[in-house]
Amino acid sequence: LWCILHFIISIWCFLFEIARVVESYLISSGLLKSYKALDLGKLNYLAIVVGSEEAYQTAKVIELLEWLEAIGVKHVCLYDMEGVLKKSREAILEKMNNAIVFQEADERNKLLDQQHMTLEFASYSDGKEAVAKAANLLFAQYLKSANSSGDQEERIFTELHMTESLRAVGSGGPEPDLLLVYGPARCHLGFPAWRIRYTEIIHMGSLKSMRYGSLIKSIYKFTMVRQNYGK
Amino acid sequence: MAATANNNKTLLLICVAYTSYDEIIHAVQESCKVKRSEIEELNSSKASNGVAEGVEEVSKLNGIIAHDVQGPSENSFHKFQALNSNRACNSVKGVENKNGPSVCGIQGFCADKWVDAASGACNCLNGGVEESTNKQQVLPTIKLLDVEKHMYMSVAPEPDILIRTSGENRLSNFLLWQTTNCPLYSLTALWPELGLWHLVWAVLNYQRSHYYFEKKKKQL
Repeated sequence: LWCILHFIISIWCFLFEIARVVESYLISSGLLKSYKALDLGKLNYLAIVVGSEEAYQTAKVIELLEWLEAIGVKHVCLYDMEGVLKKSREAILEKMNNAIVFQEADERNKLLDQQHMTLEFASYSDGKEAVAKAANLLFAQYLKSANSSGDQEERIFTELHMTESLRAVGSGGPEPDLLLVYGPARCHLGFPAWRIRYTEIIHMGSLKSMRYGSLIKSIYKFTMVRQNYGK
Repeated sequence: MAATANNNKTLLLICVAYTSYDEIIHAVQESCKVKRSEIEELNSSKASNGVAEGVEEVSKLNGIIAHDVQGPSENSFHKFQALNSNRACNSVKGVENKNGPSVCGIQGFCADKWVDAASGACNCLNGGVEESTNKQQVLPTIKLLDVEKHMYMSVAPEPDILIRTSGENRLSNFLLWQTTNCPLYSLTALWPELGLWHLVWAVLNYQRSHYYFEKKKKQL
């Protein structure tokens, strides 16, 4: 019974996929007016998660980055679980001659610099393991304060402490506004947990079937979203 | 709650006033407290081994604790030595060698023994610096497993599916740590309207990507 059900669902998904291809074709050819003017004011930082098997297709990644550059996105973070993109970093930077690597020290300048596209490369070690390293830094501070002023039971670590320690450890990038997942399933695959608390997560299908139209559509949908930050 | 008190097949966890940020910070803090008590146990066991006092004080350092000289005398020479030792102690973290006769935390030495003690302790200390760096590596550091053990959600396994109602695509600070390998679904229905068919659809989608996630879990 389950097999029949899944067969029916596969047909349904196939039809849906065809509809999406048609739609993205329409978008890229500029026929749908609402997608023409994209307001990128809200999109300060974009992150892309790629499944590790697909991350080997460096040409596709470069094509995607070129599309993003054409759209006007300035700051991108590339993530894959195993660090494959980090290894192909040199190849990617070579092809994208207008891109520079994201550096912590330039953070203040990066938001003003409109000429270059900044790229950040991250992998699993920048997520959970970075938190463990940051915990060791905080631990050192904790020992120092505990010895000088006796036992303290109240909360001594705040979110600010954590952010600062993560930055000191080397994985303190800004929080992405939008996360695009290119892979078989909609899952963030271990992207640094500290940075995605309010990030919109959108699944784009697999990398080899990526389309310019879907990209535009996702960014457009993002600009229409209203967030309640609870402030 | 009384109606379900005798159920034992499934467990429902309700998170009230919960954020992932808070959970992560709390886990780190608990790990720190546990590690500190481990260090204190280690130190108390070392004290009973009769190590030379100067070396013992150095071994307590993990590079950032500066011990005040206990029972300081009025002699400004001692104070100067204490100042040097405080500065030098802070730099042990960077594994730099101390210059000169700086001594940390000598307890109850009287003035006429100072010079002998200083030179003796200096030799011990130079050996103790290397020893303390070795001990630094032996001192307990916080590992990923320690942090995960102290999470609020360690009572439950990692989720297989995460369903977000109201059509939003965000996690909004919920279970950011635990959803590494878990598909996230957003339904446009709002929470009170959630029905059986929504769940069936979510499970069917999960089954389609099940193979992929099993492969991922085996890789880890």
